[in-house]
Amino acid sequence: MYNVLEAENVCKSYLNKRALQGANLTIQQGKILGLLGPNGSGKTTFLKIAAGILHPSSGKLLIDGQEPGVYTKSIVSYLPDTEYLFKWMKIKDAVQYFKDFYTDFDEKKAFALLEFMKLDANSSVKSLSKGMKEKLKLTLVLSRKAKLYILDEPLGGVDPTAREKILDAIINNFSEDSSMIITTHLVNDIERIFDDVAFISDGEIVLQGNAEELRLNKNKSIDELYREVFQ
Amino acid sequence: MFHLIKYELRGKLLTILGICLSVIIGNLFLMTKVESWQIGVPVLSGFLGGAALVVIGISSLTLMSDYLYEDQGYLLFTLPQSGTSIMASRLIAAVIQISLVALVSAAMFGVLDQGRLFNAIFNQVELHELVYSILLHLWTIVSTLTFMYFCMVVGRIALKGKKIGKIGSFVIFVLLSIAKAGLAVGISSSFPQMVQIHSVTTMTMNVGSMIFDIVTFGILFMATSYLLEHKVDL
Amino acid sequence: MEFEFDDKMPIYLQIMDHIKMDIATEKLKVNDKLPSVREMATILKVNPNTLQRAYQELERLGIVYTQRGMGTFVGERKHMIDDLKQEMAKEVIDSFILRMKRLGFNEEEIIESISKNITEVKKNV
Repeated sequence: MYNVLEAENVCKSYLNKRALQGANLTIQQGKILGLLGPNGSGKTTFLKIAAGILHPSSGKLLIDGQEPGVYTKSIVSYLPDTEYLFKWMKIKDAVQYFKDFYTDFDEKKAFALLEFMKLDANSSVKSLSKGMKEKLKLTLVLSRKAKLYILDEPLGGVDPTAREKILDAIINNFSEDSSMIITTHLVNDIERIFDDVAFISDGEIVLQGNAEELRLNKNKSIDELYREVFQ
Repeated sequence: MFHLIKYELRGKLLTILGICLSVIIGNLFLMTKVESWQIGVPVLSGFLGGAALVVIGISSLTLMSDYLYEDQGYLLFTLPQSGTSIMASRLIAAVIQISLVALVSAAMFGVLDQGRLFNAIFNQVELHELVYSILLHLWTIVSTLTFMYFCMVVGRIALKGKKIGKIGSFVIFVLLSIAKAGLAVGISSSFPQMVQIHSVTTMTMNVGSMIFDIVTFGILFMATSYLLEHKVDL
Repeated sequence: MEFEFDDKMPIYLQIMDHIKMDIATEKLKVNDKLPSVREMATILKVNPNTLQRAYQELERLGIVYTQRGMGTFVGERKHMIDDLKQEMAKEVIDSFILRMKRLGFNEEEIIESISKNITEVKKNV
């Protein structure tokens, strides 16, 4: 099976702390991986390295065989945990922006998704609520035909109805020739969409495996397992 | 890269329009005072233009700092764009917006002054000299901004944290400016060869320091592009 | 099609059980078309790969068959409904007996308690 992402012993340290200490992880094509861990465990650090906006202190991370750079950015669709859209933008400007910069962006799909999310293309980004912003970001990210989707806390801070919509959009738009990595600490809501899960604690992957096998072997849900690992 | 420039200018649209409108309104106000203030009016118009250039200059610095310190960085630095095109697009956008403000200020000054100063200039200066001096100004803008962007990026990479990074960038800027000026003086005294650029008004340039400026620009441009692509951690 | 998952068990097994149950109770009849993997994934909010696996396992068991480009259908295996009923009944009984034994009942007591309770259930239904 072809690995879209391979991380070998990835470390990231800052002056006073080590955010990642030797993370090893692979993601196969066609799979959805859940990267699970509490705040500050190194999830976001790992994703930022894969997205090419953070550089590892040591170790190797390859996406489609290449180190993060201009090429990998063209095949990775990254949903950051920040409000990164320009304040002057209307929703349709944001769509146009993605269309201008990403050749794999599907404008039709974007407008269909906006409709599904009940977002008005003419409203301004500034005026959106937290949940709507999250839906807009997800619309933009999922409208690309990327090889790897990286979603950092797509369910963070949104209400349960929005959560359902977001989950539906993820499932509907996932195709078997792409892969996805999703971080969350709300495991219960989303565990059924993972093929594989990896638990990250203090910058290390402490447990990794196929979700169904883990359920079978441990006779526990992923959520229970998560609680057990992190108490 | 065209798109990068387009979105920078779109983002600064309100700033550019605001500055231009202020310059126009300020000059219109000055025109009503021509009778009473006399010579003070063109001087004030000149000051107004200068102030407008300072404001747009500072705004040009935010073309870089916003992405280094704000969430928008996540948008720019995840685009499949090389450090070179990110750097070049910033410089071009800055040159365009500064030129726009300069043009509007100059035009308003011309109207206010009823074209006297510009007529005088055109009568004495030949076209190619004008082109030289415009190019020289563009060069000054580009090389100065490159130098400043370099300091910002180095400050951002070397020092974590918004405040300390910005202060650090400023310290780096001051230190490097001193070093650069010292080197330039040294070079121009060791290589005293001069070229004359203008034919009528005598304007001479030191060959050594000219080459030094160009080389410095090249190195700083490439270094900043490299750092943007490979070293900036958000 | 809606049901509560027990996340402690593999999801694909639960989906398979659910479909088997629908066939055994004839909610799904021979040659009925099952929802597509994607439809089903969206309804159940489950990874499409998990559904794919459930469908493949069912196909391997001969319970469903796939026609290229058409979809997945309930198979025509002989005595399938009876077989499924037997199979599922066996699962229920096995786990019942196991739990009764854990409670300390011996075989006779188990049978006794069944015959006693079955009349009570009859009255209530």
